[in-house]
Amino acid sequence: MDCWEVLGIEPRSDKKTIKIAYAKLLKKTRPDEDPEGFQRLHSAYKEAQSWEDYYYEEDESEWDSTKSASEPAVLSVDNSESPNDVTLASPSADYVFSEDVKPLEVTVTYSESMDNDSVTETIESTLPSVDLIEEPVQQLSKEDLQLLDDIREQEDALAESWESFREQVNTLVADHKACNVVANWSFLEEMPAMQDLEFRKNVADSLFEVVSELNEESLKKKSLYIKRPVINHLNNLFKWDKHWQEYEYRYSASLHEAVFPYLEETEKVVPGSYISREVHYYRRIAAFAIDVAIFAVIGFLLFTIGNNLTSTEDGVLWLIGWGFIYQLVLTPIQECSHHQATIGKRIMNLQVIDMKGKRLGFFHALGRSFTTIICCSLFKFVLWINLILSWWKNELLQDRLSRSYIVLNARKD
Amino acid sequence: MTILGIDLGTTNSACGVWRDDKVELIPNSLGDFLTPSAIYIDSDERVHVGKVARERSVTHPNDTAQVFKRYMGSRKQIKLGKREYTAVELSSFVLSRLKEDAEKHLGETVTQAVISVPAYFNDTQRKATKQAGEMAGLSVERLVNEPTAAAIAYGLHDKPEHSQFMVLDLGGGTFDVSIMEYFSGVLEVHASSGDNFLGGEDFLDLLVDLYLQKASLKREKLSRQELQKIQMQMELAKREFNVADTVNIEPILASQTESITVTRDEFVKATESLLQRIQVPVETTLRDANLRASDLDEVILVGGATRMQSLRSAVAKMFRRLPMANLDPDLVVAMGAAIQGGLKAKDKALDDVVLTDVCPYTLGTGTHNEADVSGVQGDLFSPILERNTVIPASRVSSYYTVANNQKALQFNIYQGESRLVKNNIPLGEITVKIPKNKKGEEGAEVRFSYDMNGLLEVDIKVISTGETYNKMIQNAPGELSEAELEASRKKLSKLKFHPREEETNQLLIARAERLFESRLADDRVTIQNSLRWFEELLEKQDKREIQEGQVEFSDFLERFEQDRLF
Repeated sequence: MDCWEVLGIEPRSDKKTIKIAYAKLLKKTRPDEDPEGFQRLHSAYKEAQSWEDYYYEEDESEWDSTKSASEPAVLSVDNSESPNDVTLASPSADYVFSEDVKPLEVTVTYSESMDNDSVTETIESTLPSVDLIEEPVQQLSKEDLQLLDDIREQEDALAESWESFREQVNTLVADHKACNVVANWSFLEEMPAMQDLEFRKNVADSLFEVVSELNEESLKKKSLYIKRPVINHLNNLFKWDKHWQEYEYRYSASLHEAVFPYLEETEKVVPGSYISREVHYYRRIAAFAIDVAIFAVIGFLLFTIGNNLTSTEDGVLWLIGWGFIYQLVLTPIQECSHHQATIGKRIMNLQVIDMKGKRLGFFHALGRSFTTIICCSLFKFVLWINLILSWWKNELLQDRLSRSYIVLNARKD
Repeated sequence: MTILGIDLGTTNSACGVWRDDKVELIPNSLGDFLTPSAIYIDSDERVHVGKVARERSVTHPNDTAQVFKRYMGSRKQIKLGKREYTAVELSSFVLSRLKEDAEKHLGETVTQAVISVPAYFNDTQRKATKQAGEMAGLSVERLVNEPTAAAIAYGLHDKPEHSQFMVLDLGGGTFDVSIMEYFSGVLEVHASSGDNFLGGEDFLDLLVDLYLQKASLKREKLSRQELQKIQMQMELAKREFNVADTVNIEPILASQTESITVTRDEFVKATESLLQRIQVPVETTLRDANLRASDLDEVILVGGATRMQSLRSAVAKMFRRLPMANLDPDLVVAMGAAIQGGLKAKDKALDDVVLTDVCPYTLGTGTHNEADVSGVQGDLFSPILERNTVIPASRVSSYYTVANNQKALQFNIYQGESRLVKNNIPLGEITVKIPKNKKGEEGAEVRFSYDMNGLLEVDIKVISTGETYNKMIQNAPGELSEAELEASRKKLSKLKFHPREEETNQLLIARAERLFESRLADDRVTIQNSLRWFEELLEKQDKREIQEGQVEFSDFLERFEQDRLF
């Protein structure tokens, strides 16, 4: 059963016929009484509507083709509906969004016919009239009259604001240095036209296009033309991430890939602070023990081989050499490999990462190994000093440094 | 069978019924349609609801609770006097009072109700609301989304055939946006969105901050009582801004000597960030409904906070048109809830009206994130029911194992819009056992069913064995268990409501006491004297005399309050 059969109407019926058929059937298939029937009916209704949209687009293809894909969807709006109340602001917005030098004058006229009186009549008679408590009849207050003036003013300024927005963005992005200074984008917030929803949406989409196109280009050379701080600033203003599905749907993968991966989650303010920090004591000790064991076995083998093979019995030299190779070559190589771990760490399911959660480079890993040696040496150094001090002066390092001493509590005896 | 329609608000609540083919709002014992959502528990453990409780918030801040709707669905305990209460319990007090008012007004017992909730309330918050109703002795027949309720009221009132409109509902604590279409008796919600932590109370908070800053006072250094006093005055000032450009505030605390002037511009500037926040859900609904701002035929304002001129102006500028507010923004949700009650009761007059609503947020489960080796991102969110799906709805998705010999599949259920589950709200978890097999060979079908009340049910079927798990979500944070509910009922049974008949007198006394506390010297003596006179009058128990006294005393207090603000 296709959607037209479910609705009981001719295929390719117009929107209004679909709606009336749906409304009629809906009253027999109420969502709370017949959930399954309702779901069937509703999906048929949606499907019929999307077919209708498709036909509509086909019919309107003349104007559709004049509009290049990269332009914002609608350049000029002429809403043919006239408001029935003179005192209300007309929703018809005659401002023209013109792009760059070639001001395209494409006009979309809402062609949904308004002659629905016949339908209205039949339905109105069946509806109950509801007496509700109304606010006192709205006389346009001083404030509202002022508001109407403000709205008109805003409306008149829209086209100009759009011009100036395009201009400022174009000059800004032409200068690679300037466009990466967040403060240089503050003009966006200062534009009064930003209060207008449609204007704001057009700005949001247009900026998304600008940023993603620039970055898509520069990413081919492995760099970001518009860098993270500005991307995130713009995202905070326009909430691209809130509508990620829509942008993913509308733009190619390479375009949204040039923006979304560089957005920081709002709660992550300090870089690096978002890795949940934990020392993993036991695992690290175990991993260390395993590594030491491997090191010791190989070291012992080398030591014996060195002692027996060479005439000068330089097994100790072999051992020291092995120690250097192990710590300064093998360990860093292992830690910057795709395993990101030494054998011990791998066994204990540990991994070495940098502050951004990525794999270390070789020199970064070398630095890490070197720091390990220094820390271990310092630890041993302090241990030795303590031993010497206790044997020689009967005190420990902290006693000597803090000029204090520890004795038995005499009062207890 | 009457079904009571209730608007359980953050600041105010109201209720009504569908009777004789029209909406009938129910007045409380004071004759008001609005009952403040405030609770006061006195030293005798008697519960006061409404205006009396609000007056007592100044004199007895530790025994009163307000704005508790914000904690619906959380485990937060609010201390009142000797005991602690959850938001569910406090809400049930309000509902009990409304039920009592309705029974008095209708002359019959009321056991069924339709309660309105913010469209953006999540599963846990909805269940909590239902529990509050049950605790108050009302079986909740339907939870209706607030903007939808408002739209029903408008739909039946104006009958705007073939029109698309947006309802902006800014209440005391929550903000909801819905886009609807009305045709041939069908009210179809296209998209809903919102912000659960944006409301009139936030505007009030900022105004209090502004005042404190001007008066060089520090919030931390003030006692709860002093802060309450300032809040109360600021609430009046906030309303004053709807008509006046500047508000002059006389000293509030004993330590202050000079009056302070706040201008509307300052107030607007201080609340600019809040006004900007309303844009986000508005934009989301428009994008979801695939509409442009100019496609809308009407923008309707609902909720007490939309009376603010600054909000009206922000909305007007967003849409380039004047928003509509023909019906009382405080009561329109209650009217809609009442109509929904009539619909639910299959009232003949409403035969030709059908309402379809949507689920305002995406629901799904967490899936293994293979690309995330370092564990920074966490699981990915796999949507099952996309936001703005028409309800009731039911959708199935299949999930497979990611490791060899996996023993179980754990489904963490989330609600939200982010790609990563850690940014979404966890609703609960279900674990199903599966036979051992190679990875990707075993799996389960997950069915999400979303009912008309906005409550979620999850069915899981293991594909190979056919074993089914039909569980309501468990471990939802903040949800009360059956045992906890029982304990709660026991606790509440010890409490008694203050007799409804005495409320008028109670309110007058509470008001007088509040005024007494906020005044000095001569004023205090005057108030004290009249209060004593009124109390003596009550002792006499002469009905007629008391009624006359009430009017006189009320006028006296009115005069006193009025010379406070200019």
